[in-house]
This record gives sequence, C-alpha cells and structure tokens, in this order.
Amino acid sequence: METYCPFLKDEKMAFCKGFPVRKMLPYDRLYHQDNICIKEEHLTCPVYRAKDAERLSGHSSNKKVCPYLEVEEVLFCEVYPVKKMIPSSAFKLECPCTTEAYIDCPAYCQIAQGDRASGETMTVRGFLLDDTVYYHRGHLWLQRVNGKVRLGLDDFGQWLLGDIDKISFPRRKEHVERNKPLLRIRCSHGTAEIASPLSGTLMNANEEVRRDTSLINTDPYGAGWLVELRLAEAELDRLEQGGEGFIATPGARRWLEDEIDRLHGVLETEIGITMSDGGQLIDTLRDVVTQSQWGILIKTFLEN
Amino acid sequence: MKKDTYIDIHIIGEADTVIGLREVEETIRKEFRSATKISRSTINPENFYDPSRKQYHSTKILKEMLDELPADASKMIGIISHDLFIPILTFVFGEAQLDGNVGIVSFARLQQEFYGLPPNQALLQRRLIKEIKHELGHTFGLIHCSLRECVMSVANNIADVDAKGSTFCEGCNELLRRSQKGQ
Ligand code: SF4
Ligand SMILES: [Zn+2]
Ligand SMILES: [Zn+2]
Repeated sequence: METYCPFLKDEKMAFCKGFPVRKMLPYDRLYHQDNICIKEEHLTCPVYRAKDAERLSGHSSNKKVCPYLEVEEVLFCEVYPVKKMIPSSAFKLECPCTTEAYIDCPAYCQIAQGDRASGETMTVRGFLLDDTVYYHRGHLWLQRVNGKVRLGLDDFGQWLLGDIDKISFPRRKEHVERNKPLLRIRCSHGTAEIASPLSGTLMNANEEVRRDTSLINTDPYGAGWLVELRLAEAELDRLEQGGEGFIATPGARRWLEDEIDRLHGVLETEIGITMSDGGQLIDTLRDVVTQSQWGILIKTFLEN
Repeated sequence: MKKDTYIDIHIIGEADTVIGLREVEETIRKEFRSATKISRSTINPENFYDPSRKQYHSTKILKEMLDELPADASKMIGIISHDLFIPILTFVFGEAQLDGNVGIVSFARLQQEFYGLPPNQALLQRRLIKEIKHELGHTFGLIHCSLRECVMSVANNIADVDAKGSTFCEGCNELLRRSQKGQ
C-alpha cells in the first residue's frame, strides 16, 4: 500500500543559503509534531484536501545570479500555497535572487556582512547551534570522532537543566540500548533520566565532566561532551540517514526555534497558552520555574 | 465573524499622547476586516511592577484585560508605554493569548530614545503597527512564521522588528482568514 502522500514530491529546487530554513516542507510549521506527509494521516491534511494551489516549476537561466542561491534536491508539497517555496518561487515572483537586485536583499546583506559564515557555530535566539553535529530531539548532539560517536547535550538542553549537581554514566564497555537510560543528571529541582538515542557500547565517559559538571553548561559542544559510543553499522546508518528522532542538520535551526516557541506552550500561564515576542531567555531558568514546572520541561524536552 | 463585533484598542496609561491612534485603527480595520473601538483602561500598571526586574509583568496585565473585555468585542489589543516582561524572557515587545481574546504591545522599546537615539515618530509608528498586527495575529491562532518578510516572524530585538515585513505572508494570511471564518 502507498504510504506516501501523492503530493509529496522531491525535485530540484533553488534555495537561499541565507534563509534560516532550508527544507521548506509545508508541515514544518503547522504539523511539526509529526510528519504527516509520509504517513496515511496525510488524508486528513487540509492542504492535501484543498489541492487547488498552483504548481511551481518556473525556471530561468540568468547569468547574474546571487552567490547565495543554491540548487538542491528537496522534498516539498506540491499543492501547498506559494509562500512555502520562497527562494524557488523567486523565479516567478521576481525575487531579487536571480537579478542584480540581490545586492539590496536584506538576507543577502546580512550574510555578506559576515553575520553567519557557514560551518561555524551560530546562535538561535541566544542558543548556540553547532552545524557540524547531528541533533536528536532529546536535545542531544552526536558527532563521529575516531570511529566512535561522541554525544553531549545541546545548549538548550543544558540551559533547561541549569546547574548540575551530579551526572552518572553507565560503566565502560557496557552495552546501552536505544531508548533505554543512558544518563542520570541530578539538578537542584530534580533528576533527569536521559535515554540513549542509539544502541551501542559505551567506550568512554568524560571524566572531566564528572569532576566538574559546569563544563556541560559552559562548553556544551566542546569540553562538556558526555560519552562516546561504538555503534553497529545499522545504528550508524540511523544516525547519518536521519532515523527516528534525529533532526537533519539544515533543519536544526528551525527545529530549535520551534522548540523555544514550544516552551511557551509548556509553561502555560494562568490565562492559557500565550505567545511572547521579546528578548532572550533569562540565564537561570531555575529561579523562575517551580519544581513541578521544571519536571514537566525536562519530560517534554529531554526525556521524550 | 459576527457583524456587530469589533476589536477593542485598549489604551493603558497615557499611550495615546505618543502614538497615532488613527493609523492604528485604520490598519486593524483593513487587515482584520473588523470594526474597531478605542477604550481607556482602568488598569493601573503599577500594580504589576516587579521591583527586582524593574519591569511590568505582561501576563498579569493580560489577565486583567480579560476582565475588562467588553462582551461585544471579539479581541482586545492593549497598548502601553511601560517596559514589559515575562519571567522567562529578558523583556517582551508584546504578548498575546494564542487563539484567545487579548494581546498587548509595549512601545517602550520601539522608541529610538530607548537606544539612546533621537526620536523618530514615523519609525515608532511603523514598528508599533507591526507589533500590533503580530500580537493580534496570535489571538487569531497564528504561530510564529519562518519567513522574515512576514509580520508573524518573531522579533528578539529591535533590528528584527525593523527587518521583518509589515504584512502577513500568503500562508499566514490564509490561516488568518480561516480562523476568522470559524468565528
Ligand atoms: S538575493 Fe537574497 S534571498 Fe535571494 S539568494 Fe541572495 S540572499 Fe537569498
Ligand atoms: Zn509572536
Ligand atoms: Zn507568515
């Protein structure tokens, strides 16, 4: 039986390297909890149902092309309204991308001024995002290092935890199972149980971090790494091919933004869910959440 | 949307001495296809002052606004000159109930003076209009949009406010219309 929505297409499209989201799948915003497009649930998708939007495939062969314009093989919803396709619809909507007008494009100007060089750590609403690692939805990052896979907490994850009193790892050479406990992290508001995103053998635990847990907070992608696992081939594939729970690196920025927004939903106020627009998240979450709120946050973001 | 409802523009404190309310009204009428009324709040912001933050608690003011919401108003957008915060954020330009009735915008940080720059009335007005649309958008159930050119994109600083567009993108507009139909 066909489990792919017939409107989910993969095609070569033009993308702007400067845009925060590279893969503009229509559900990234509306249905980001669950990728309904590749399941039978697509039948309930309003977009699928109202399949009246036009198909986008305009093309142009302009010589003076913006250097940030990139062509990539991507997934997209064929029937979703134009706006999700931005840079590719450029050709049609007379976006600056394919004319000399790109010089004046705010997105272009921002990158040209060195706002974000690729391959470097960037920040998303004040949180560091390293685009050389893989991310897992439990706010873990993973990276291949000398035949092993190193794992740590991402910046948002360490911020949620706050000051860490104690961290415990499995023993060396111990086998860990995917979705089974890997780390126990004790904090002032409670203890977080972090599951392993993959099955493998624990080769190393970061002894420095055990002695000085503040490394996790101050250098989450560097000295604050947690463990190294040896993975079987199938598990490596899972990691590198974006298995369940992994976030493709180009999509990490958008994912993190959504997670930060989701925070407001989880910390429901007396008047229900509110959305706010403003500065950065404060440095110490601990001071403004109750123990039970902290527990809910940890469950929602780290233990899911 | 029911014919006789309207969006209430709720002035908290002396906000209207600084901003042009006529343009605010016109924008709301046009963008949200709704009548508008201006009301003067009885809320005293000082009750929501947090001395440790030296700012005013946005969510608590919203809660108070719910009590002031007239029965025939569909939404209420508060405009205030005080610097607002919510506990987890260093400050907020605004806050709104998602898919609810009330939203609020502070223009404390929309003013050039806040950043030590000479006042610019036209710029303040442009920023305010963007934020009002944005917060009202939330009350109609819109969440943040990934398109910078869309007024529903999130702003974490004043540069973001200036960089984002002042209109709803096609997708957000569509959602807005749907949400209005559903009411
Ligand atoms: S002109 Fe702007 S939007 Fe187009 S590719 Fe260049 S930076 Fe991106
Ligand atoms: Zn918002
Ligand atoms: Zn939008």
